Amino acid sequence: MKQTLCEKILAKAAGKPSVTPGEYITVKDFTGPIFYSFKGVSVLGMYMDAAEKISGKKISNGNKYIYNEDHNSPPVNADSIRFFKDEHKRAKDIGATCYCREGIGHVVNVEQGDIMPGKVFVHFDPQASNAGGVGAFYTNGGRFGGHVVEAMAFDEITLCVPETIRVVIDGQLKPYISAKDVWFAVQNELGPDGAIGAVVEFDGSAIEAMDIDQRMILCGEISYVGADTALIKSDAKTCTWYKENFGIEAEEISGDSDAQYSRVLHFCAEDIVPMVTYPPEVFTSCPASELKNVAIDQCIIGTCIGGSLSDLRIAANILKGHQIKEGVRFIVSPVTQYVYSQAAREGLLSTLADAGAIVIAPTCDVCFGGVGPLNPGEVSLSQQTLNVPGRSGSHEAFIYLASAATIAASAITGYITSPETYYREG
Amino acid sequence: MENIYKGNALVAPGNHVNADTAMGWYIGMDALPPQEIAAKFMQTVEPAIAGLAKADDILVCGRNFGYGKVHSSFLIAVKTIGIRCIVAESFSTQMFNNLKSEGIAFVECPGILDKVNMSDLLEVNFAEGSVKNLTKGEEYQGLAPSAFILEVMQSGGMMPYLAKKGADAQK
Repeated sequence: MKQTLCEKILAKAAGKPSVTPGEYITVKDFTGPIFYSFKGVSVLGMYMDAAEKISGKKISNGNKYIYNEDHNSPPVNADSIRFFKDEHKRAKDIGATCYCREGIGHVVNVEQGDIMPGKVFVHFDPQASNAGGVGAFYTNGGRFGGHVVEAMAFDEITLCVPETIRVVIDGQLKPYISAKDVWFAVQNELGPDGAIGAVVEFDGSAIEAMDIDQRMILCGEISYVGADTALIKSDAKTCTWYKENFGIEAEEISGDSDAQYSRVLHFCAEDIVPMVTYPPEVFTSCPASELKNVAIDQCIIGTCIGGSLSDLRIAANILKGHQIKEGVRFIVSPVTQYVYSQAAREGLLSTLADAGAIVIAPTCDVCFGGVGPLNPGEVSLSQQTLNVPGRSGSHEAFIYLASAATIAASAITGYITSPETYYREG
Repeated sequence: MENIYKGNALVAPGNHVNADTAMGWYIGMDALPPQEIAAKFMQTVEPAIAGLAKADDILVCGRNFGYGKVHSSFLIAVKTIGIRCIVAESFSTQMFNNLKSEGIAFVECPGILDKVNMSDLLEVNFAEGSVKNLTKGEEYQGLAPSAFILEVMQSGGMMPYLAKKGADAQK
């Protein structure tokens, strides 16, 4: 029977030969659940309390949990140090795997081989959908299914098999176009609720040519079109990436292109131009060239859907030999320690620093103003997951979202700038 | 959980309303005293709501309500005020899941925002997905919940439903 990639993965996870959209299944074979906590909120503690109340007993499967210490990292005052240590102890006491200094968990968990192609993993945060870029199925129960607490209390999770929307991008992307630009174009087409309750599968020659870290970025924001998660097949490129970078053996898995999809969209890669999402909404984007009069105060290359090795390479390509405009705060936070080290070995961090960038460690804090806050009236061009008012401090600041290439070019001019004239071939 | 909810409408206009933005959310807000959070309920979308809101009122919203990330403040405010039912043209998945978790009745009723005025007396039938406007003498048909969602909500929400699952498993 012809199956979409989503259906193949869920069928396997439920121990069935096939599944159909709308069918309820019980999945016992999954990674996690995965957690992080953040300032003032012990997410892990809250979920543990709920699970213990439901099961009537203490957590006994904590050795399956993963705890990422990537928010409020490094801690910046006495209270946050205490919170950081308390949460670490809470996770360790139940036997969870803890990542305390590897970087942003949504990517670390893929690098470390916890999240693998063709497998289901459970996380409370829909932002974890980025792992769909390696063909891993993210769930928190989804729109019509169960809950993370169910997975904690009973070692199983109820899922309702979603419909699959297929998005095909064929052709060749221009060298200064990356996943962000593709994503903003797709989001414009689907709209903020165009994929409610579905899974989006990306395919096509442009996706096949994409670096693995860009495939992950493409999948990371899928909840903002209403989808439960996104998927890209795991192919030879995925397996080579796992093996060469992390020494991990992965498997290929793909859907049948003639399976039943609820909708199929086609994009021509050559038509995709540098795009920028403008505030106050996260779902409104336009070509960067239409915003050339917008002066900027701050840039951020980082977060779980940025700061990747290919992002740092293109930013260094554009900034090499240039100076960041005086007065523009340009923060670079590689997404993981692995990326940080590799970028350093390639000389990317020194190229960026020579241009005037402020290069810091991997941290989620650049995403919500913990690092890089904004004052009233200020404008930021960043790779944050959200640009809602107040996201980085002031509710009277303006956050625009863009690719690393667009951010780098804009830092040179001090205005939102399309990168094509600054990108260097070869 | 009952099936019928009767209360005055609190109408929050706009589509794709982000619940965090509606609350004026900032990091650290979730840790404020609940009454303080409740006083900011929907403040940026409809400032009149916080002063009107009382127990059993029914929040009425537009399309894709709860779009984007939803941190705890919105739900803390809902529970503190005593709102037990929300009707929207449609819900974002994040909001849908939060309401399912908390056992707060939710009905998707396309077109509802144009039909209901602030303080209209409404009667919502969760199992049927229908809304009666007792002030205007009108009735609107929304989406009835699926069998699974109905079972979850009739248990009082996802946590009581899972607790029952746990108790059944131990028998």
